[in-house]
Amino acid sequence: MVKNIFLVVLVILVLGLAGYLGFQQLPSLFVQDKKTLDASGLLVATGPIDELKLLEYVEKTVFPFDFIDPEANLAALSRVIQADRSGRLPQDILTPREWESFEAYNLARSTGFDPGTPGSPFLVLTLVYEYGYPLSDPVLGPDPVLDPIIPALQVRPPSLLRVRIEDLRRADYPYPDVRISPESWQRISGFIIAQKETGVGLDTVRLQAQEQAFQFFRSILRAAYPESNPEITFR
Amino acid sequence: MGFLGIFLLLSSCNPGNVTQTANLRAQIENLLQLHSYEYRYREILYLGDQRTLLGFIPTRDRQFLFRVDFLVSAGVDLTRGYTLSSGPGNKMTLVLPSPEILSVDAQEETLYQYVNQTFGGDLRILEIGDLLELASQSISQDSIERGILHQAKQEAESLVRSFFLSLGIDEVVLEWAPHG
Repeated sequence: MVKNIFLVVLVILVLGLAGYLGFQQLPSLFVQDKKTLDASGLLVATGPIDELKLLEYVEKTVFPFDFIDPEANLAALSRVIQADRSGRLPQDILTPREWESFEAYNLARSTGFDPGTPGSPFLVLTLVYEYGYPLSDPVLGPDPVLDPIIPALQVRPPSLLRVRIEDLRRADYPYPDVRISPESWQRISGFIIAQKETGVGLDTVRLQAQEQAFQFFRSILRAAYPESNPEITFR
Repeated sequence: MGFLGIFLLLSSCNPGNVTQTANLRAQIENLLQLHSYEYRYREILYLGDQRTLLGFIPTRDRQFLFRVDFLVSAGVDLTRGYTLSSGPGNKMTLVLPSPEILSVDAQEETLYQYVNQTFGGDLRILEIGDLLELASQSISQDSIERGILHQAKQEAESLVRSFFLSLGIDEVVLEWAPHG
């Protein structure tokens, strides 16, 4: 009798251990899974947005590697900060590129993306830079020349409206899935957006957005004044 | 003249053009979209994942609860095509594609974590993606039912008329074409 009880307990323990280790081949008779995904929300604000979007620049970026200068000696940077007695903030002691590397490295380590460990996880993200006009501010200059032959407009150059991270979709993400908490995701995405909004020098993109704006306004004037030769200048 | 909207059209615009830059990981896409109305949603997202052995031995109990704001933007996508014709007199006729949902986007900076219970495994980035996708679908439908497209149309009309008025055209006939 004692022997039988011992065997039953042993079987339960073995099966429990196997289940805990994620042994997927166990018959469903023994393992029950329940997965729930739910999204519920409230409408909290509505209003006009009034934007003309002219262009999107889309790029892929890899966290943390794209944000850490491979030439940077992070230990040395840390020592420089610690040795400084000038009272300056760390970001004022280092160069912008050094500070970005230092900040990215610390963020990566604290969120489980330590680039120094073998096989360290990474995120491949799609960033979208949106260019255009917020229409809450005047786009045209104060004195448009509405001449039917040579109409002329002064136009504000389009600007970067925002940088956003495209929402991840399982079907579009062929890279390894990674562990991450919602809080870590908030910190990483906030860091990336802040870096990209302040650090980009996309002159080529700005020029193409301006060209798109030029064609747009010229087209409108040509439609309004079919016999005209419009002049569009950026102020 | 202070407030000037914009937009419109023209066959000479090439809004669907895509330019591959020197960086193979990037590309430029020309657009022409008038975003005229926006809704903000606050979503509570939950993922629960439990596994039991023999019906009563828990081997996994993951629970994640967090909130994030979404922005839904509606307006006119001029890349669908439009026509603008003049006359008679100082009058223009403009045919625009009907308003539609142009974007639904999670605002990561608003993300706030309530519960992060990881017994049996951490949350994965693709599971966050699954939750965001689930929320996006319901938000998009809800915003349409609440009338975002109608509001986007009214706002777009106001912008278009203001713009043409600034060009000395005080009479614009606006027509809306259904999506083909």
